[in-house]
Amino acid sequence: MQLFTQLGLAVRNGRKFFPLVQNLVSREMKKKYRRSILGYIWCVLNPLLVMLILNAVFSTMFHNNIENYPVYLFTGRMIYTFITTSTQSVERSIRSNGPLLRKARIPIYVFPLANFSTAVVDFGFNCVAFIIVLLFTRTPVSIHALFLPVLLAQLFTFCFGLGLFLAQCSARVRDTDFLYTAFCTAWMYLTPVFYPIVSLPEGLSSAITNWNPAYFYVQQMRDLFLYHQWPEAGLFWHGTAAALLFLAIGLTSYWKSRDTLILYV
Amino acid sequence: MSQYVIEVNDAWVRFNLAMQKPMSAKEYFYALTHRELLFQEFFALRGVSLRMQAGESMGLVGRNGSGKSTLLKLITGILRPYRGTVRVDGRIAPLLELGAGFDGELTGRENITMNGLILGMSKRDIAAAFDDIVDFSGLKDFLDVPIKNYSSGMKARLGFAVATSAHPDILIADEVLSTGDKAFQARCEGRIEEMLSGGTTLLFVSHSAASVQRLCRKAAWINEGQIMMTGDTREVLAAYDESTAVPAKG
Repeated sequence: MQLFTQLGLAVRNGRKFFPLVQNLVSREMKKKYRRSILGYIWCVLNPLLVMLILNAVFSTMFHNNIENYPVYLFTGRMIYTFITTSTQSVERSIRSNGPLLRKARIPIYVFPLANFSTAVVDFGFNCVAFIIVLLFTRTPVSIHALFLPVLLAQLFTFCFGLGLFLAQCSARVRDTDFLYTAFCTAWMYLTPVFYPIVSLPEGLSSAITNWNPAYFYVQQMRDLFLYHQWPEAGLFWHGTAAALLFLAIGLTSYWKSRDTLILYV
Repeated sequence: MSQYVIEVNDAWVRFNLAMQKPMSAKEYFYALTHRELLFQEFFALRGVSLRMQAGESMGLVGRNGSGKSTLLKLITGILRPYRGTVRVDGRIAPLLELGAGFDGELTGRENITMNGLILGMSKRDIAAAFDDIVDFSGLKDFLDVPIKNYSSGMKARLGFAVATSAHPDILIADEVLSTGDKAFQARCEGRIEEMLSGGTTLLFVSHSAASVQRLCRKAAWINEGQIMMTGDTREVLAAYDESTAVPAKG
C-alpha cells in the first residue's frame, strides 16, 4: 500500500517536473550553439569531421582486413562516445547543480535526467551524420535496421543506470570522477572501435566479447548496419542483462541515498 | 484536520560541515576509518517547534548562523528533518534566493520560464503570469538581453516578480529585500502586503527590524538552532535587541 502511494507521488512529481527537464535540455542545446555562425549544423558536422580525420588516420592501418571501414568506424565511435559522454555528463549532474538544489525544491533526479536527455538529443544528431555516412559509402540498409529501437533501449537503459550510480557516488566522493575518467580511457582501448577484434590475442578478445558491455552494443550496431544480419542471441541477452543490471544498481543506489545527498552537494 | 498550515514539531536538522582542515597522515587515517572524512555531523536545528495559521505573518530573527535559513529550507522541503515532523498545507513559493537558477547566458524571457519551472509553476501558470511579471519588473525593453548584462537590481526585480506571481498560499522569504534600492524594496513590501491581505501566509527572515515590524504581526527569535521566544513582533524584537546589545568583543 505504502509503495503504491510512494509510486503515485513519484509519478505526479515526474509529470510536474517534466517541463523543467525539457527546458534544461533546450537550454543546453541553445547555449552550446548560440553565437556560432553555423549553429546547429555543428551537431551533424562535428561527428562527420572527426570521422573523416579518424578514417584518414586509421584506414591506412586496418584497411586490408576491414570492409567498409568508414561505417565500421562510425558505428563503433557513435556507440562508444554515447556511452562515455552520457555517463560522464550524468555523473556530474547532481554535483554541479548543488547550489540550485540547496535553494529550490526540485527532486534531485531532474538533473541526471536532463543531462541524459541532452546526450540522447546529441546522439540523434549523430544518427543524422550516420545516415550521411551510409549514403556516401553507398552502404545499403537492410530489414535488420528495424532492430535498432531494441538496441537503443538496451543502450539507453545501460547508460542511464551507470550514470545515475556514478552521479550519487560523485556527489559524495569526488574521487569517483578521477577514477571513472581513467577507467574510460582503458575502456576505449578495450572496445573494438578502431581495430578489428580478431587482431587481439585470444584470451583478451574472449574477455571482451563476454564482459565488455560497450562491445555488446557496438557489435549489435555493426550487425544491423554493416553485416546485415540479426544480432546473435547471446549478444542480445548479454546486452539486455547488462542494461537491466546497471539500471537496478543505479536506481537502488539513488533510492537509498536520495534523502542524504543534499547534505553533500 | 489541523487548523495550522505550517506545523513543525520538535524538528532536528542534520548538516554536513565537511570541514577542510589540514590533517596529518594519522588524523587522515583516523577520519577515514571513522567515516568522518567526508561527513562531519552538525545539528543546525535542535528541537524546533513552530505553528502558523493561514494568513498569519511571522518574522524570524536571530544572528548569522542561528538556523533561520535552515528552518526555512526545512519548511520548504529542501531539507528533511532528522528527527521530528514537518507538515505544510498549501502551495509554497520559496524565495530563498531571488532568481534561483538564473542563467546568465539566457535572456530575461528565457529565464522567466526557467525560474518559474524551478519554482514549481506549470508552463500555463507562467504564460498567464508573464505580462504581470514583465510589468512588475519593469524590464520590458530588456527581455531579449542575456541577463549576464543585467544589473544586480534588475535581476532581483525579475526574480521577485516571478516568485510572487505564482499566487502562493505560503510565501517564504529569506533576506530577499536587501538587494535593490529603496524604491524596489518599497514596491516588494507593497506586493507582500497585497498578498497578505489576500490571505497568503508569510514567513519572513530579515535583519532589518523595520521590515519585520512593518510586515509581520508575530515574530520568532531563534538562537543556536533553538527557538528562544515566539510572540508579538515588538516584544520579540525588543528581547532580541537586548541580547545583541551586549558588546560581543572585548
